[in-house]
Amino acid sequence: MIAATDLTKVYAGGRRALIGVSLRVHEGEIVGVVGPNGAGKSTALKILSTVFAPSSGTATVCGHDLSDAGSIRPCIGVALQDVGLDPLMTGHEHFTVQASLYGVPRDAAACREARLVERFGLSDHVDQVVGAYSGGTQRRLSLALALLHEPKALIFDEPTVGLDPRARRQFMATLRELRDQGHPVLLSTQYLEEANQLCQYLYVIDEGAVVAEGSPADLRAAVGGLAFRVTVGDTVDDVASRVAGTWQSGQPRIDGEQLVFHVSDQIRDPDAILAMLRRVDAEIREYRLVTPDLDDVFIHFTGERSESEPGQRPMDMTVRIQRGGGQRWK
Amino acid sequence: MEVALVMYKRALREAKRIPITTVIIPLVLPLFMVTIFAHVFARITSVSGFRSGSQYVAYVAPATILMASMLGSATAAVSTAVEIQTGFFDRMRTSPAGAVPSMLARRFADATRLAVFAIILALVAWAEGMPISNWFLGLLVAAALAALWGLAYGGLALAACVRTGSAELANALLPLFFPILFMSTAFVPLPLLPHWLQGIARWNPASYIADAIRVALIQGRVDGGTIWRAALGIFCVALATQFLIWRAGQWLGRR
Repeated sequence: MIAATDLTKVYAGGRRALIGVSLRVHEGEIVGVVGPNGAGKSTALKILSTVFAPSSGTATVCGHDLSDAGSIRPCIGVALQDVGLDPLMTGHEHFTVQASLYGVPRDAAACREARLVERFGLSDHVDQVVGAYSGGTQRRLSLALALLHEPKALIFDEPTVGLDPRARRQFMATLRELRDQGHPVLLSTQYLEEANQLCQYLYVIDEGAVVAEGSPADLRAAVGGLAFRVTVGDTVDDVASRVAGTWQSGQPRIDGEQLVFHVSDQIRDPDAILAMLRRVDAEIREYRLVTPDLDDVFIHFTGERSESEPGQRPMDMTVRIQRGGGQRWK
Repeated sequence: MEVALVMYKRALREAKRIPITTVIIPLVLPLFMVTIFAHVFARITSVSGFRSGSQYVAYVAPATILMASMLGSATAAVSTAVEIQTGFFDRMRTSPAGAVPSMLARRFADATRLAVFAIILALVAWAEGMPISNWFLGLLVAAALAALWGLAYGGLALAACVRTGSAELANALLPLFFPILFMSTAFVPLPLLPHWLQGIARWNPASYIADAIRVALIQGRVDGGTIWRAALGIFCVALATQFLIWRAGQWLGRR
């Protein structure tokens, strides 16, 4: 299990990257950390991977305290945001080095390498130097290396960045297999659809703090109400700017060709939205009322940044949906 | 132990894959010195202070060996900085073995390369007219001292690169070899140095290392006093640079 309590990280220079982050990953569970760029996701994952120590707070990984990094390292498989590959080494040489770093016996390493090369579609590349790989192939190698020593727990920082849809699907299937074998998996991602499909539990991090947590379904429910998606005929940015001066009940977000309005308790009638759009001369092509997706959750919890410094976020704004249902405001 | 061996082989392989930066660039200037510079200044040996009848190429050969040693000692530092930039360093840090075996292996791979440089330069100097009395002893002392000096001196660039993650800093430190060698007896004997510089040269380990290599190559013997001072100088520099590497490593862990 991976458990962190009140992790705080202040970088040299005084920048506060994490403020009291607590999270938990049980055996046989994939937990996602989502949040905007610079929110602190990578910092949290690097601390749990023993890359560096937290400024305060405690954590245990596979039953070992963070201060005992030597006991944690053999237990975890890590793929950080930087692929961490040597451009002058071949894929095969990376497997050899990785096996030696983790003390995997040669025979076992060769057997596992063959399996991972096959699984991650690296057969055509494994004898080439990594500098000649595409970004996606480098990412696949990085993920394969993380599994070479058959770790108990897995920590992946944006693991699917750069993967093509097929490779992404294969990797997601691998993660589900690992989860089904009882491994705890902690990953960060920017792809909310992926988080929705993979993760049993999500932490939304913004400005170094957890602003919401819960299962994807619970988080969507926490946003409340419905999303009213309107496809407009004019340039969507143009319509959005016209709406800005007219609509007092929260700015819609732009999603492709659509404006997405949050339909909450205050705005029960989507007709009011349509009427407003007609008032600003928007050409309405299509509209539909849908349940909010994780994009809506993401925007809801992180979209409106306050001007306050990190650390001054009022913690009572954190919404927490406890495992097993129920919701409480912290 | 096995991980150190794998990393050592990896570092040597890497040097073969980028020969321009790991072999050619560190050797160009020393080869120029031993083939051209030594002949341009050939008549300097007629000045009192040099042994009568000696050839300048024989006198300057140890200086070129030290120069190659200093120019080629930053490879481990540059590679470590690149590892920090690419995230490979963090890959090692999150492994049970950590990053130390890789850094050690890189430094020993550097030392191996510098020993080979010393032998190449000694052979070129011999081809240019330097007499070698005892081939085995001469090459052994030259290779060993060049490797150890590179190992000790290269620690400075490594500490800087670990602390900053900047490969450029290692290259910026390269010109340091100029004052260190020119303020020693590597290019001219002590009596020919200005009076104020003689005091510095007496404390400069490069003086004793160059003298020890020269005696071993030309006279085919080991001068106990000189080699002892050379070893002490290398040890002191190694101690200082190792302390800086340790501090840089501590900082990296606390980032």
